[in-house]
Amino acid sequence: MAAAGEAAAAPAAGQIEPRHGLRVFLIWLPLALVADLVIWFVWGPHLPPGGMSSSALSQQVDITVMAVMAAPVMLVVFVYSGYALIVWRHREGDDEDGPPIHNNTRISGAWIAGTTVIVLSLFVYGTVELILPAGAGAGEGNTPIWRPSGGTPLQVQVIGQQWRWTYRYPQFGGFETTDLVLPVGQNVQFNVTSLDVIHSFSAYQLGVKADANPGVNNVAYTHTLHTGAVMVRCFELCGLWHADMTTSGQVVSVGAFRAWTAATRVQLAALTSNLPPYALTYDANSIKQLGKAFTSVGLTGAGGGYYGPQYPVQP
Amino acid sequence: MAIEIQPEKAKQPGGQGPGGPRPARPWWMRPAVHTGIVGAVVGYLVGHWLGNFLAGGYTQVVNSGENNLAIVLGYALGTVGWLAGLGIFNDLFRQMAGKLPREITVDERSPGGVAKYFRYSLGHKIVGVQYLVGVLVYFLTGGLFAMAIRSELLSPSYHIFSSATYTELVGEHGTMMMMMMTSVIVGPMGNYLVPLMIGSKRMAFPRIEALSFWLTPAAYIVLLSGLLWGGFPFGWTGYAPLSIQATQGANAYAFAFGLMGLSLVLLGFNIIVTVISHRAPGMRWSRIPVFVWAMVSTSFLFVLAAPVLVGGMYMILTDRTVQTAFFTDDLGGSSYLYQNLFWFFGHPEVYIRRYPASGSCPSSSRCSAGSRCTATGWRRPG
Repeated sequence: MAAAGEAAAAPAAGQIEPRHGLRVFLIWLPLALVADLVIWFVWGPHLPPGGMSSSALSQQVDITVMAVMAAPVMLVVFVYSGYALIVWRHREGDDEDGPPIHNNTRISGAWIAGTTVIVLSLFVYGTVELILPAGAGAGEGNTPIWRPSGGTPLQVQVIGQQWRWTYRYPQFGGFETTDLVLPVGQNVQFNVTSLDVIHSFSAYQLGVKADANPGVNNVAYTHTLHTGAVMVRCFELCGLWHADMTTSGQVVSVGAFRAWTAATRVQLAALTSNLPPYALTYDANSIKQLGKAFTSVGLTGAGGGYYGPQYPVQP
Repeated sequence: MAIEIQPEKAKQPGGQGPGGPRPARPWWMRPAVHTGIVGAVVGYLVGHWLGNFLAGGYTQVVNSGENNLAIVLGYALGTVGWLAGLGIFNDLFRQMAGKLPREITVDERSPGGVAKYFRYSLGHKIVGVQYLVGVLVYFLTGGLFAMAIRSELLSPSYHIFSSATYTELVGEHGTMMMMMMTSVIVGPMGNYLVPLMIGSKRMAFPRIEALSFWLTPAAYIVLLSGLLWGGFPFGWTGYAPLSIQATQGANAYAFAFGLMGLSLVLLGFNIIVTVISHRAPGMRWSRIPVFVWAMVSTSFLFVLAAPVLVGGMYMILTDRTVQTAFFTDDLGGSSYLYQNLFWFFGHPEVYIRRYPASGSCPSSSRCSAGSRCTATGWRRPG
């Protein structure tokens, strides 16, 4: 870059061309160091999605690392552009030709090698950061390969339907609520599924995002670290009220969680006995009562009746 | 001479012999957009009737009385009627009847006039200009939808559109931009410039080139007609169970995307064959401009990715009309299948948009003329 201009520049009579490349580097270096230190120590701990869970924390660290890598690159562009604008500005009355620019294989090669190293190292870093935090909060499908260590996690089934999230806790009798309550300091396994169309379960502060496909059990893991409020949103366009599929949940202390499960189990006992038995996926066609209700008002999809009664073939 | 050398000329209107050039008929008697519209309307009505005849017992929504198969067949036969009205099948029928097909250069030489841009013209420059105007129209229409979205989003609490209308507008905007404008560079610039840059006077398949253009207004009208059915609620990606569940507007989405996919395959394949077989003598692969290389690479993307899209859209249409279950998990299909098929096209799609721009940059007159370095390797000899 600047070194090429420096190498090929013909010095004006009696004047030694300053070493532009070195100058740009000396301007860039302290700026890059300061930027990186500020990003890592000051800005990093406040970057989204925060540190409420292990997956959120690892995502925060990843974003900080990428910002630390990106800031010097950005500064190279800005410093070099600024330097060029100021130092090589066209002076009044200067009609001289610019220096003849030739291809410089070393510089081209160094550039390609340098950018390849950066990209490949990011690839390695990303892969490691996906595997180590037990899948990094992403949905791993039916048979997850990256699991957290330390016994059976708390099972929470997330059921998406148009246009509401509900949660079932199979280890506490399989009751289904619209509240997401989790204990702190616990491995949590989300089994995400859908009853009708594709949704995407996103618990932002927990750093968890997993697609909810009908007939599919998508497993995502996390480990809760702090108490706090969690916003749950739907991240896959699922119809008219997709933007309304928002609920809030909370991470509470272990004692509060135990009390909540005990109370809710009793409170919803009658409802739980009417629900279909807990399963990893639900066949909407088999929920006959719901199917009839929906078909009579002319809807297909959710709740059975994929093909209305007027279709010749019924599954 | 006593012996008659010239054969007797049969009398034709205009006094020419058989096979000679015929005088042009007035513009309103020649096949063009206006006859295409007539053909499209007739075709739609026939298709709609046929769909109702075949599947009159099905309705998409119990209370609406509309029939998906009728709509889809209406679109299909309407498109065939549009193409027939434009005269696209005329050469085919001429050859079947034993006559010679129309000469390619006639329209290119017709002096002045804009009528040739509204016809099934076979000159590559004409098709290039048609494409340019076409994609600009599609772009501006998509832009109007974008302005509607921005108007709705001016205030968080005051709503101009209902939720259903807003979702419909978002879908139409996205689909118009992503679908109709896939061929935004390769269509106009590829068709116009590639033959010029390789020293050819025509594309390899002028009729296919023109067909690929004339499918786009049909796709445009079909996509806009979705608004008449209340649009589609799934944005431009059309993910499966929702697109099967949606009401009639989804047929417009799937059919328009299928038509555009067909147009893209024809466009790309034409460019590849042209550059392979119609380079001027001495125009080696190492000498063709970078822009032409970009067009060829992008055309490979078209040819490899667009058919999968057409397949996915076809499966959506059959799932919606004739009770196949490609994308229904509990009936043996998979919702992941649609995502796979769609994004098999969707990722190349974004490279289709990027490559021509990359190829235009080093070739552009600003880049090469004003600076001291030309695109590497394409220097003048010596």
